[in-house]
Amino acid sequence: MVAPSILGLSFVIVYPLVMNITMSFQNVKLTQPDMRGWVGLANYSHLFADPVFRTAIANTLIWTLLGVVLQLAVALPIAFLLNAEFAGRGFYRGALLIPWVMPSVVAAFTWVWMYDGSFGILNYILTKLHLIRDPVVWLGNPNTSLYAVLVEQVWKGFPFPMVMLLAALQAVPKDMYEAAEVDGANKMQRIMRITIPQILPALALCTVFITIWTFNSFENIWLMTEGGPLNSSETMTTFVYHNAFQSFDLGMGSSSAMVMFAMLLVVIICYARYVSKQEER
Amino acid sequence: MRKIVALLAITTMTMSIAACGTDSKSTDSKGTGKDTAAPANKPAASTGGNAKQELTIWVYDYLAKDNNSSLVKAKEKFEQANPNIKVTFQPTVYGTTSYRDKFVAQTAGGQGPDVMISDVVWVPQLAAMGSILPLGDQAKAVVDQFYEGPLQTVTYNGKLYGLPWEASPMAIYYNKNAFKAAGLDPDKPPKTWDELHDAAKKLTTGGKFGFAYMGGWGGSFDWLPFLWQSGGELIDKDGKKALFNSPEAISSINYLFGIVKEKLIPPAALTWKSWDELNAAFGAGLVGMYQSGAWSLDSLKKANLNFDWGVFPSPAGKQQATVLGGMDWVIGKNTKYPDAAYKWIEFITNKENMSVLSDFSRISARKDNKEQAIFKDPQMKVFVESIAFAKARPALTAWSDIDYKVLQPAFLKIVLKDADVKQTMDEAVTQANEILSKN
Amino acid sequence: MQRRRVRKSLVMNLVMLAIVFVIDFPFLWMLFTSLKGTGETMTIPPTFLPAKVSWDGFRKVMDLNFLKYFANSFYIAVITTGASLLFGIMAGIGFSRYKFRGSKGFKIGILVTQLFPLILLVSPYYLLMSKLGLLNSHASLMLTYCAFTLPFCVWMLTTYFATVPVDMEESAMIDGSTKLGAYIRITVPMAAPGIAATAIFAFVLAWNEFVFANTFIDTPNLRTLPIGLRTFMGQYSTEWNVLMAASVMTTLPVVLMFIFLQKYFIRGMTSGSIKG
Repeated sequence: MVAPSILGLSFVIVYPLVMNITMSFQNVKLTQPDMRGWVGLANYSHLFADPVFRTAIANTLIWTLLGVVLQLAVALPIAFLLNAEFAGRGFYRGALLIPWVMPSVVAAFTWVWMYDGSFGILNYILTKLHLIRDPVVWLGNPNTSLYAVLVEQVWKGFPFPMVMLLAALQAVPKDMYEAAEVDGANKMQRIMRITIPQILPALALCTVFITIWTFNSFENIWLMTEGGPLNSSETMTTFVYHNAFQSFDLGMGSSSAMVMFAMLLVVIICYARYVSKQEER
Repeated sequence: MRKIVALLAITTMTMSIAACGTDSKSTDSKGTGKDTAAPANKPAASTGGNAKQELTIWVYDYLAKDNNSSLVKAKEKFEQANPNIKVTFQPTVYGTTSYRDKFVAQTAGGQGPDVMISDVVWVPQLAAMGSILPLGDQAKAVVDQFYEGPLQTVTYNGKLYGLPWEASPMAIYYNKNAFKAAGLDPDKPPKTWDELHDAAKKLTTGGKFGFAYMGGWGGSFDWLPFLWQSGGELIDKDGKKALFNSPEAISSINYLFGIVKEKLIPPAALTWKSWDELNAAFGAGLVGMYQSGAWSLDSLKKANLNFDWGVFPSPAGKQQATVLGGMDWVIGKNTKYPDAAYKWIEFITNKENMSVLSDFSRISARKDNKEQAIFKDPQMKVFVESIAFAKARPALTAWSDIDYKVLQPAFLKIVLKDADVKQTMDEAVTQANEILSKN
Repeated sequence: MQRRRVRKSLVMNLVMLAIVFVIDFPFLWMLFTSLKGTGETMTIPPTFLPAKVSWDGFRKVMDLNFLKYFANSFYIAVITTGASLLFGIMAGIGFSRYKFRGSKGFKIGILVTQLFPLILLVSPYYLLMSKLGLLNSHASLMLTYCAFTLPFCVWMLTTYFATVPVDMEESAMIDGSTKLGAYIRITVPMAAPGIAATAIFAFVLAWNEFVFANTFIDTPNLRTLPIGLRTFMGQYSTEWNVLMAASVMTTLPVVLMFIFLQKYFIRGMTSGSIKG
């Protein structure tokens, strides 16, 4: 009964992993199929000699760290607000999920349009508010491109932790608050002593999930900047795709993907341990 | 019981996969007639039999946007004249190298189209890689119908690898109303670098800008006319040494990218990667002048702009010069029907079908192109006359690499990061020489 | 007391309305742009609401190959959803009703798939599909999407089936039903909310997916919506009303589906993930 799923699973994990490891030690150029063969560590040494790859690693770290912090910073307060009891709560919860539901291609293009340097609404609003003097080409400027895409990432990503945290908040037993109130704890104390410890497991889980999702994000960066200009928004994912499907060098693509995977493995192992500990309880 | 269910499940899954497979193939054959699974074997079918010969042809998407396209109509005519050949267009987005690279990768994998439109600069590279087929002796009968310049773009190692279709020099479009408003004489457009710069400066006022270029690609194509106007060269005659750090070249870089620093171009232009974006900005009145080829005439005319506009020839620095772009037709190496493929490219480049190009406001590469209807158009005349001083990009296999990997990043660095021009170009020349030495 | 509650509600509604406006602004901006006439997207300063509602954008989209792309996406998404549900239900019942050796390892494996970088899969799958002769076919996408959705579907459905009491199946079997009959008539309907959530998940994934569709498909007639949209972006890079009209029509099915099944989805999402 479970066989098809196990097949599916090995198709998703085992096969690509084996292929990636193999290809990362080979010369696999789609433009020169006859040249395929083992090259040892050549792909890896090319990789680490490539300044663009180093830029990509640095960008990925900034992107992930900032992205996770911002997603949580947006999600948590809104989850608290939605946890209060008031009429129309269901509507707001639904409305706030819209970014998450929008197809990623649509979301990316909508933001490209808002960021437009000549007719974009964002530049208009910001100049009206006197936050900027001249229109900024958000996606075409090496100083802003990574952060401009990051805003889209946070916007599209925050609803998931929001819903998870909201569910955790709602699961906090009411009588705990009542008991604390009887003991004379004020609102802040109640949040610190009851709410936070109670939602901590959910928060930790959320953080792991969005860390990895943010680390892996590709579509929005690809559609909005393709990693440019001048590699300013190049992350490891766009680097892999550039190599594999623009230079058609699958060997280089695979070796850079393996470096990515090694970084992720650390997080995944921690997570797997966490899960098995939870299950033991 | 469990094992039986599992077995059953695996069987259904494999069956559903198989079902998906056959099903999609039938969709596929409806779509393109391209059998994705078949390797590039060359069956006897190409020589005999009444089997329908199916040609898949890659064209730039804008040439076959809908069924009213004159190219699509020409295809129908071709199919009527050759009932045993079926042609399927596969419109592909032009504007990045992905069009070329996808072709190379698919062809190397034993697939790829039978025929393709190619940018004039790609042909030597594709020929060197063996992705396209040299033409047979049949082509000798038609070669002298084409201009020498365009013919050079399809020649590699003395062999002919395709037929030229379109030859297109660039000139400068300008907004006559904006000229008047800025106190410039619309009947005397700029002729020199100084006059052009002066006009750009005067046109830049009140949220409007004087000039624009395709900044998303670093502007390397837009820069070529200025390089040649300055008397500079790209690469020496032997194709071994890059020359774009010469004092002349540096002066042209300073000239073109200086207008960015003076804020004479709209900031958004630095992200533009298509002619559409330039045309639209000109149409919206955002920019007063921009460089483009005859390919922009069509969309500007269709847009019914609410101002008067015109075209003037490229200005003179030390000399007058502009760049020659265009398209060629080439045959993919995996075609099963090389004869049918050749039949198509001879058909589409013949005299009768010059009208296809006319419909897109393009200039034919044929010597008898004076007979094209569009030549009566005063704006078109500017382009035709520009052919006299237009230069083609070097017919080198390494040119695309130098353009994409060296020149574009160098120009982006100069514009976006304020890098030192001389130093940046020195580095660029070193990199380019390295690429040249490998080819 | 009553009045205080009303005032609190009012304040909360105002605050939330402001937040929702900011968050949903891109969505509204897409909607309004799609209703503008061709010239109106290129005005300085830009207008927020369309000065005059125009259907130009939508009309132009209908003239393009949009419906074909729409149909392709729909077809692929439906098959993917159907297959994921079928196999997901089978595995879900299996995991919740029988003890396997290594089922814990499998569950961890399932979680790992959620964290696996998509980009790692592109090259191997490209080569695999090329070997199978499936490149440039819908089957390549259906297979890939099923492989993605299955682990998650199994995970969600297992948690759902675990909440259905086994004794209900047993009592049905006492009444003369077979085991399979008991599953179909009792267990599956009891887990309907979970199945709905799983269905949306699979459908949305297949509907929205871009990377593989972009890499595997070349033939225009086989393109899915996201790729079609990307093509429009290349062709009509300046006609934002057309692009946004196409975007609206791409978003509509998932948003509608979401509105109708929202309750299940949020429940499924939170229960599945937190209990996991």
